[in-house]
Amino acid sequence: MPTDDMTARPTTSREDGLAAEVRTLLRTGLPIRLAAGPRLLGLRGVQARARRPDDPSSLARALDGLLREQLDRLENTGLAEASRLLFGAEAATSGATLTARRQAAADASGYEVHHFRKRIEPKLIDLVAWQLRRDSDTFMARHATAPELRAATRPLVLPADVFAWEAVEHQHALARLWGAVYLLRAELLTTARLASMDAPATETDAAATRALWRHALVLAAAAEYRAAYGAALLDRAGDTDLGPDQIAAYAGWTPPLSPAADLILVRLADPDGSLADFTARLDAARGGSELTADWRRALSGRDRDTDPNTLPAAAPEGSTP
Amino acid sequence: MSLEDLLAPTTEPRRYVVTGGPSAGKEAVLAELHARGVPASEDEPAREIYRRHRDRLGRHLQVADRRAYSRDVLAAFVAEYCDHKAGLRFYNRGIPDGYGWDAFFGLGPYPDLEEATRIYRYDAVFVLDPLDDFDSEDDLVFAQEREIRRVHELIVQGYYDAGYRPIFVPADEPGRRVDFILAQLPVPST
Repeated sequence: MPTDDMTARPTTSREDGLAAEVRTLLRTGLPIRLAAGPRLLGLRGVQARARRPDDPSSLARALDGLLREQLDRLENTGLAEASRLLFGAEAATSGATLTARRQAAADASGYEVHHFRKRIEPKLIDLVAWQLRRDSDTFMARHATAPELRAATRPLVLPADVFAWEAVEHQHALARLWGAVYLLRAELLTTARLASMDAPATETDAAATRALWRHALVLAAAAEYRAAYGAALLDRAGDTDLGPDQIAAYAGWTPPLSPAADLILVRLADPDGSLADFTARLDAARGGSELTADWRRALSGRDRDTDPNTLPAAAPEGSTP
Repeated sequence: MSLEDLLAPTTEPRRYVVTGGPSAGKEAVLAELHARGVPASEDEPAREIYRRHRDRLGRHLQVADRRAYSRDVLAAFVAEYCDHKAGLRFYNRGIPDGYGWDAFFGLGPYPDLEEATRIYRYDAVFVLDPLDDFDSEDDLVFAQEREIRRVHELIVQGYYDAGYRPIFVPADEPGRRVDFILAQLPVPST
């Protein structure tokens, strides 16, 4: 007879209601229907596995697979088979009533069925809920972090593997995006310092113009990422909202621009070009001078009497020269 | 049925998938299988296809290019499946891997993949658990762990979706992993 000592597990799952939803799910067992609980469907591990996280049926399929995996990996190996029978993960009990599944699980584990229901089943439910929570916890937290850099101890040698190539391409796009964000941040900080120090307007304006150039390059890098990988970050885990545009905003506050102005800036941004090239082309574009002037005023604080969030940004519609 | 029986070219074909996310140690396991004389994939078809697509485009694959790439990879996997006529063989990834890879790049399943998954069935699927130390396997340290983890989980999910019950191979040195895999044989068809 297997040990039923499973008291070492944390009680978090019970407290947050996850175990209650697992208990409810157990009534119908596997395969999972659409009516699974919101806490279960909202688990980061489920969201990350779902092909379409906004589609409830896709979430249910992801939960189904995750639950089967956790049952296959049950921490208490002595009760692994009983757990699969109980939840209907085995062909023998798939789709069966809870009574039939419970009887099969009790038989397989060598317990009398009433003892199993009262003593073993609740602990199994807690254990499964705990494993589901632990799985989700291993996915990263919901915030954007730049690629972590580490001290290199040897030359970079890639295995001849498609994922290695894909990973390099993706990291390349991410590095370009984050690199552009940090360069913009540097210019925004400088502009703020100059404004704070009451520097001559020419100096502050020059810094603000460099910030505008860097902002255009951030927009271009975000557009490049979107074209390659879509509107959401590939490594976003459960955070379905995080995309290149959100990362672009991490540099700091920038004056709000109209979508048309954004498009113009993206078109003018050339990662291999210079600041002089950019400003010349922007000045030549229709509305470009006004856009630059508005941007400078907003960043230098000369518009502080007005709410910066309602700044009427220029929306140049002219084409590039 | 012994391993020798399974290896005999007169027996019915048995097909086993070795899969897992990046840095799971797949190459080392396949190399160990080769060293023991167990038939296994020599290469991963996706590599050449990836090179071909990239050369044709002159740049990295974008969202709009991925379906065509995925179809070519599927065709290669189906051809590799059909080429095997007798005895046992291990495959470097299988047809349902397509679900996981496509999902990672934001694509949903498409009819050809679903049909191939239904028709071409493997006898068992071995999923290599990720190795704890990414540095020990290769230089993919810059591919953040969450990215690798997500691909791994999506691949596993794809096999469950396809009706398989994967056998998880614990992280260990290649020889012991192959011992573990061979000890499971023959696995009944799912």
